[in-house]
Amino acid sequence: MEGLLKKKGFRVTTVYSLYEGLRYVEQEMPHLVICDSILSDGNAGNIYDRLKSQKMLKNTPILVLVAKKTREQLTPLTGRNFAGFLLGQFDGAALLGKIKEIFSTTNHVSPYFMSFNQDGMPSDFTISLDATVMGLSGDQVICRSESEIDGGAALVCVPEDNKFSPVLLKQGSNIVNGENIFNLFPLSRIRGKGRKWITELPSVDLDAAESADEDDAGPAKVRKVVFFDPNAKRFDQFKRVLAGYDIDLVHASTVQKAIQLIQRDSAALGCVYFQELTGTNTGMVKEVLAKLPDGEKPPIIVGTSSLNMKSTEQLRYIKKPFGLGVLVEMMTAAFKASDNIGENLASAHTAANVACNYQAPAKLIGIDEVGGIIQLKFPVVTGNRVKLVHPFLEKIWDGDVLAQITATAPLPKKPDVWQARFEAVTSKGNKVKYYEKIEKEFVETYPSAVKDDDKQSA
Amino acid sequence: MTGSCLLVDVDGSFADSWEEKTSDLEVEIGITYASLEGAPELLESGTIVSMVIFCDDSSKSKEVAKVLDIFRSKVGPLAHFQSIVCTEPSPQFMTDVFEYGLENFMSVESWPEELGALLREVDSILKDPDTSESKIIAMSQSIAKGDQGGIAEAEAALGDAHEYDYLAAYSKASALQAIGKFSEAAEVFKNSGKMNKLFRPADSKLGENLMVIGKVDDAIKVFDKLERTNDSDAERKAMLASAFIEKGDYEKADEYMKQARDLNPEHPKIREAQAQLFLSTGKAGKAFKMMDQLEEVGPFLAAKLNEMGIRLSQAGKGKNALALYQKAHKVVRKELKYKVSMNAALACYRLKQFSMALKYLSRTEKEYGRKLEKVEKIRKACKGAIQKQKKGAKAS
Repeated sequence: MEGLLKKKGFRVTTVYSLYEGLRYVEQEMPHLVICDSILSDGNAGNIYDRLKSQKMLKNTPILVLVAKKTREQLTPLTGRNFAGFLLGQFDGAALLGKIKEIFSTTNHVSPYFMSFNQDGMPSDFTISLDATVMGLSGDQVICRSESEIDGGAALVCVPEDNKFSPVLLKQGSNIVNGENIFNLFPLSRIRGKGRKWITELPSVDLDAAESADEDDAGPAKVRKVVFFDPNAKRFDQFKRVLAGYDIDLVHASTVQKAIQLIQRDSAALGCVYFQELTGTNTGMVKEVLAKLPDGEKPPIIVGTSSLNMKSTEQLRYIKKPFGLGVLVEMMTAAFKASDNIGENLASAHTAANVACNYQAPAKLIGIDEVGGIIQLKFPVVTGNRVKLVHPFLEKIWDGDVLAQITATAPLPKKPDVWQARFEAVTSKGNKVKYYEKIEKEFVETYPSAVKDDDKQSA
Repeated sequence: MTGSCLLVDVDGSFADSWEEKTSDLEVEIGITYASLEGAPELLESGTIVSMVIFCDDSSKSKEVAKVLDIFRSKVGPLAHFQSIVCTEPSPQFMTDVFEYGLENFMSVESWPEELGALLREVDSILKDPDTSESKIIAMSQSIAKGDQGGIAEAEAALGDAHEYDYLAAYSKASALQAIGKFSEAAEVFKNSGKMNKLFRPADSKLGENLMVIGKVDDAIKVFDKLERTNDSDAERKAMLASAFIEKGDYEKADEYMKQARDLNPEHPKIREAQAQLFLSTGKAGKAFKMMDQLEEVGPFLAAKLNEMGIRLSQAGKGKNALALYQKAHKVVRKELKYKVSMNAALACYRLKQFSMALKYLSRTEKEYGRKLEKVEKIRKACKGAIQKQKKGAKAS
């Protein structure tokens, strides 16, 4: 059971007695307790009664496994309102179905979730991230920050020096060079009334040909791209169209062929495009890349119709159906990464170095025992660290508002509205004590809040 | 409400379902449905700010191009306010619509959700008074109506945005083109293209304006560069044909004309080029006949017609010039009509038909939307001549 649940992405801890179980629940505040009806030192009814008697734990759902419909096994269930039962032999699919059902009744939030959706609660706030605008590289603005940026993000870049106006950055891509993370944004996608300064930034390119005036520049460098598309006719059209943008496509009719070409020509490739990639094939591609020497790993662009695929520097997802400009820009950004310009950027001395803050409006949906849930108008990269500049979080986290994003997903039927789960980066001590502290603060700050009845969908 | 979004059904298969599928979208922008045939009228209504085209068949790019063309001229060059519902667009389809800067596609399965997202974005942009987009729409509407006063106002509202915003630059250049400042327009179109090297409409318009100001070789260079990334655009082939007619290289012009016809025999620019060819080779009768089939003629042929009219008038063939201007006035785009009227007034002046000249001058000002210094000068000369005629008549 533990293996199955872990495979499905749950964090699971197994204990073997009522005593151990209660101790664990009281310290770690799990979101679900699954237990046999009869335990070595008690039964499910004992757990139920104990949790119900504690204010903090009374909402913890309990799922009981009843192996046989004997009187002994059924008695602990009598008169108690368990979240669910499973009768008979262990059945993985039935278990997962039941868990899904239980979590849907709690709207997939923690049982300790405190919602921020009532009047008088300041749900709107700003998320921010420290960054430095370095300068231009061709048609891209290069920034340095502590986080990778999702291609779908829209961030307001607010310079510290107010002689520079805020600008809206979109369609970012990333180059990671050791500890340095560079975010690249196409100039043409940048919006904002006072964005003139950004077009006048110095070039951080060490390649003079690229920054020279186009009319004076020599012939453009043709980039080679391995292109996996099982549809030969479509490939031929892409080859003809992209040739005009100095991109030379090499056809791979199968994923295996593409992998062979990567192994053979990795150093010469600008990037690799996969029309689509299954989970198994993604694993194979990652394996091949892992074996290539650093500096010879071509960026991989993968077409997907899913909204949930998160790009990394190596694997960049392009949402299908896409337009020509998006593909060309994505390939151009990938070429920059494959040129290892990260090394050059790390030592670039001609950069403008404008200290700034990436900012975006967000909504605090609620908080729980480890962090909470925010809502944004774009996806954020899982693992990213952002500052959540919210008065309540500032208060309970003693001003240290750095949080880590642990999961993101768009709202059903709203591809432009995302919710993200976050956790505090700096340890806030014992989970129970932390929860008691925030609950107390929450009740004092928002006395009208009714914790149990206003859980919001996330 | 900030305007409406037009759903254009090229496929003809969404008539029964669009309303239900969009009924629960949380958007403030209104949604209107039209068939391909009904779309132009709605686009000209001045209420549309966004457009989504249902066309899951990549081979219908010509039909799509027609509505994209109208959207660009009546609403503005706002490709990010438009999208096409097509699950697997072919690369050539992507290329064809990229000529209009368009690169948003939605899948047939998820278009209602994606439409909701697009319209919320459009709404938030248009509600912000600092963004260029609403000013660009106002500008495009003024240009489409030929309202020179409105154009001037919209241009002032854009401020210095053309210095850093390629769309604002494109719109400013369109305004300059509409008031006949073709050299300046070319410069600003060039800057727009520099700010976004992938924004093809700016380079296309740059080529067109270079042709108007006589820099034909430069125009050919611009078109050739665009041809490298898409050699299947009938309009550009026709423009290249025009350029080679201008250079007197009829063989090459014919080659491009044939290529244009192979791509889209119905494209109006082909007829413009054909009319230009007849004019250039002295086949005025055929040119006049061809002009009957033209509408919304662009600045290059309009300039050619004006040029020819002036030549005829100066050569003492004033009546022929007037006939030409009458034809030209019927076919040129609204914002270009005032120039034809003014030239007609000059032709009348040379013919000593001063009262008729004054009528043409009034029409010029009406079309221009405000006073014009040149019109005043001609009017003064006409009035002086009429006085003289009267005095002469009295004396005799």
